[in-house]
Amino acid sequence: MNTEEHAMNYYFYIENYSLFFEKEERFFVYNTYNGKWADCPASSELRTLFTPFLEGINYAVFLSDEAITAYQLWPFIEAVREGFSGDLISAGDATMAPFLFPSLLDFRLEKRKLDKKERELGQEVYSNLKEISFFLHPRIVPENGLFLPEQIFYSKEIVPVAEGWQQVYLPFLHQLTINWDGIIHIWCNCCDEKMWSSVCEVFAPIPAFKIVHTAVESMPPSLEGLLNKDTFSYEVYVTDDSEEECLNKWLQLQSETDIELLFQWLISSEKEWENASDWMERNQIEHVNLLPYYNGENRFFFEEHIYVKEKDLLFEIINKKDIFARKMFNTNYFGKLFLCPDGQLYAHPADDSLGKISEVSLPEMIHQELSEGRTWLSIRDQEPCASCRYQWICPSPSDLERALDRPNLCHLKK
Amino acid sequence: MEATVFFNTPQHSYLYDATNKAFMHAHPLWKPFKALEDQEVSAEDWEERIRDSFPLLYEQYQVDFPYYKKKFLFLKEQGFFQKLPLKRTISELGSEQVDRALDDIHQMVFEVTNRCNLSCKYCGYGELYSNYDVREGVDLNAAKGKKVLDYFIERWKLRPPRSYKREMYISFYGGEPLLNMPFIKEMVAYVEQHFPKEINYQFSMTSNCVLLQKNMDYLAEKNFHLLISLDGNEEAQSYRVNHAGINSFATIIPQIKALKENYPDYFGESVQFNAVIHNRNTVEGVLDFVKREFDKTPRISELNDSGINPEKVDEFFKTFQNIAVSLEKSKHRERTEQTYFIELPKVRGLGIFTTRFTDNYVRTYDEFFISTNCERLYSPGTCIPFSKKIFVTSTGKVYPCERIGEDHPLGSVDEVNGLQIDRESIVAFYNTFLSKIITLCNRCYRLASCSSCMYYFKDIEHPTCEDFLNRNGFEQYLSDYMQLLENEPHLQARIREEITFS
Repeated sequence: MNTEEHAMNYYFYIENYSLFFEKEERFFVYNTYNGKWADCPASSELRTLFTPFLEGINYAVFLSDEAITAYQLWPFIEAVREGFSGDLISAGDATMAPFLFPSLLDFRLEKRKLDKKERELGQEVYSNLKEISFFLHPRIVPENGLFLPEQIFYSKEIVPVAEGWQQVYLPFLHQLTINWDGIIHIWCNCCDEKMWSSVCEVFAPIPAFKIVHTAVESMPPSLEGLLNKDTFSYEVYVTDDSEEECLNKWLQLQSETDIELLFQWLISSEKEWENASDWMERNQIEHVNLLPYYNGENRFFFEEHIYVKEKDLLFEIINKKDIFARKMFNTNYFGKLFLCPDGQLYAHPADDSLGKISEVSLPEMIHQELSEGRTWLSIRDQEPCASCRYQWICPSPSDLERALDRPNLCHLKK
Repeated sequence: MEATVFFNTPQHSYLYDATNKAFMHAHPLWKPFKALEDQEVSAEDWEERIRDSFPLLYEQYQVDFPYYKKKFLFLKEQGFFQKLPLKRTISELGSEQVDRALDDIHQMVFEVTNRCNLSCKYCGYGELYSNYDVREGVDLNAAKGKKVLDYFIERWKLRPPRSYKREMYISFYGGEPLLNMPFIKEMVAYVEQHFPKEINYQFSMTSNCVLLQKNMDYLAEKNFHLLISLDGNEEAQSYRVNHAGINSFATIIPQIKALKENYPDYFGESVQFNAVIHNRNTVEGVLDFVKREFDKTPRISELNDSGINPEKVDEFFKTFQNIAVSLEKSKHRERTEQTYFIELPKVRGLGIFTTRFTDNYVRTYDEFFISTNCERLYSPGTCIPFSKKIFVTSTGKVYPCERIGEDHPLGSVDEVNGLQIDRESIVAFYNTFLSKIITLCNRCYRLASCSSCMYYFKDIEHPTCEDFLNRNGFEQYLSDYMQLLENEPHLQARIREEITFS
C-alpha cells in the first residue's frame, strides 16, 4: 500500500510513564510525570479498539481517521497529546504498530505469580522488615492517662510491661539484630526512673537506629540517662492540654545536648491547629509534626480539613513506582511490626497477633504477614475505592480510616 | 554509557533513556534537539539551527516543531536526554557477601563419583573439552561429604538463616551418581538426622538411568527430584553410548517406563527430563518423543562452548546445534514454540531485555523503596560465590558451580580439616579480576544484563569480554528486541503473566 492510501491512518500510543485504565464506564489516561488526565466514554466499540491497552499487550493501537471521527475520539486524543501522555502519529508505510511497553507492573513476588514457590517469598525475609515498635508502656503519661497510641490500639487492653521484661525481649532483640539493621521504636514512660534505666541498659548496645516515643510530660529523669544522640532520636507527643513549661524543658534539653527531637502535636480541632501554629511561630520552632487525632467526637474536623477532595486528587502527581507500590502493598504499614508487653507481635496492633515472640520465630511471622497478612497487603481493592478512578492515586488505607471506621478519607465515595 | 540512545527498527524510530529505564517512540526532531542540547545551544535558537542544518526535516515537521520541542523540554525536566553518561557504580565483592551466601546456601551439589557407565561423545569430561582434571575413577567418600554437611549445620547454629521456609537441594551428580549408592544413602540418612527443622531439604539427582531399575524404590521413597538425561529417540540418543560404544537407548527406556508404571505419582511430580541438542536430534523431535512416551516436557540445553579442546574445535562445532536454529527447522513451529514457550531462546532473551531495561519489573519489595533514577549499583555477571550453590567434586575440591572448569577451586574438603573456604582469597581473586576488567564494564552497554562469568574467561590476567557491547551493538540489540515486539507484542504480556525471573 502506498503512503496516500495510509495518509488517514494513524497509530495512537500511550507513553510508558502514563497509565491507561477503565473505571466508571470511562477510559482514563493518567500521566505520572505531570498528573494530567484525559478520559472518554468506554463504549464497547472503543473497548475492542483499545484491547491491546486493556490487555497490556501494547500501548500502541491502529486508528483510522474514520474510527476517530465515528467514535468522537478527537477531544480525547487531543487531551492525551496536550498532557504529553501519548501521541497520534501517521501510520505512513508502516504495516505494524510501534511497540510501547504498557505501564504494568511485573512483580516477581506477586502472589499469583508465586504459586507454590513460597521459597521466593521467604528468601531474605528480614529485608522486608523496616521498623519495629516496642511498647513498654501503653500509657506513656502517668497522670492524665493520655493514651498515646490509642488511635491504633482502640479497645485492645494493653497491660504495661511486667517486671523482668528484659529477659523476654533480649533473646528476641539478639535474634533480630544479627540479621537486621532497620529502625527500632521504643514507646515508654521516660520519667519512670526504673523503666528508663532498663531501656538504656537493653537498647543502648543495639546497633540499629532507635527512636524513643514519649509524652511531653514524660521527661527522662536526668541528662546522664539520655541516650547517645548518634543512635537515638526522640519523638515527643504534645496535646493542646500540655503545659508550655514541659515543652520549654525539652527545648532546653535539646539546646544543651543537641539531641534529635521532633514534636508530634496531636490536633483534634481547628482551634488546636491554630494554637500549635501560634506556638511554633512564637518560638520559631520547625521540628513539629501536626498529627490529626481522632478523639471520638471530632468527625466534623476531619470532614472539613482532612478528607480528600476531588480538586486535590485531580492535581496530585504520583510517580509510577508509587502507584505500583500502592497496588501491591500498604505503603503506610508495610515493613512495620509492633511488639506488645505480653510478647505478642502484630503487623498492626488492632489486627490479630502474628504470634508470641517466645513461641514463633520472627522470620516465620514476617513470612506469615507477607503471604496471608491483612495489614501489610491491605490495599484499596474493596468498594467503594475499587471502582474509583483515583483508586491508586489515593494513599494506602491508614490508621485514621480505622479510627473513623470508614473505608477511605474522601468526599468522593463513601 | 550514554544516557539516551536513539535507534530504529525497519518501521519505527525509538529512543531508550537509561536514566528513566524508558523506551519511547522518538520523533525525528528529537535526535537533532538532543545534539543541540548537548552543544548547549539555547532552545530559543533550535528552530533556526534546524532550519539551516536540516532544511528537509524542518520543512516536513515545521507545523509540529513547537509541540515536539515543548514535549522534548518537558521530558528533559523529567531527567531524559541527560548529557553526562549514566552514573554507574560497579560493586566489588566483600567477604560478608560470601558469608551471607554461605549462610543462605540454596543447593549443595556432590559429585558422588567421577566414574560413569556411559561414555557420551559430547560429555563435559570427555575428549571435546580440556578444562577438567583427569577422571581417575574416584568416588567421594561419605566422611568428606558429612564434613561439608557439618560445616553448614554448625554455621546455622551461630547465624540463623535470614530466609524462611527455604527449600534446599542436596544434589547428587556424577559421573553417574547411581554408581555410588552407599554414599548417597549415608548422606541422606545424615541429613535426615542432623538438619535443623527450619530447612526444607529436598534430594535431587541427575542420572543416565542405566542403573535405575534396582534403585527406583529408594529414589521414590526419598522423593528424589530426578532429572533424566535423554536426548530423544534411538537416533537422537546415539551419542550417549556405553564404553563399548553401544547406544544406551535400549537399556534405559524400559527402566524409565518401569519407574513410570510402578510409581506413577512420583513420576508425575518429581521426574523431569533433560535433552542436549546436537546434530542428531531436533527440539521438535525431542519434545514430541518425550511427550509421547512419558507425558513430560523436557528441558533442553546446548553443548557447553567453554573449555573446548583446541584439537577438537571442528568436531565440537560439527556436533553443536543451536536451539534457536533447531526450532526454526520445526515442521510445526508454532505448536513447538507454544509447548516450549518458557524455554524459547527468544522468550528468555526478551525476558532479560524487559526485566533489565524497563522500569516495569520489580524483583523484591525492597526495590519499591529505591528511586529509579538514582545512581545504580551493578554487579558484574559473575555470581557472588556460593549464592546459587556449592559444588564438591569427588576429589574434594570446592566450586561455586559444576559448570566451572577445574582451574579455579574456591576451597576443599578432607576428613581431618573439614570444609575449608578461604573467603579472603576468594574476594581477592574476584576483585583483582574485576579491577582488570572494570574499565571495559564501565563502557559496556550490556552491563545491566551482564551474565559473563569470570571463571569462563580464557585469559584471566588480560581479560577481554566476548559479550562486550558498544553503542552500535546496543542499538542493534535494542532494535532486534523491539522488532520482535512489534511482530509479536503478545510475547511481552505472556512473559509478564507467566514467567518469574530470578
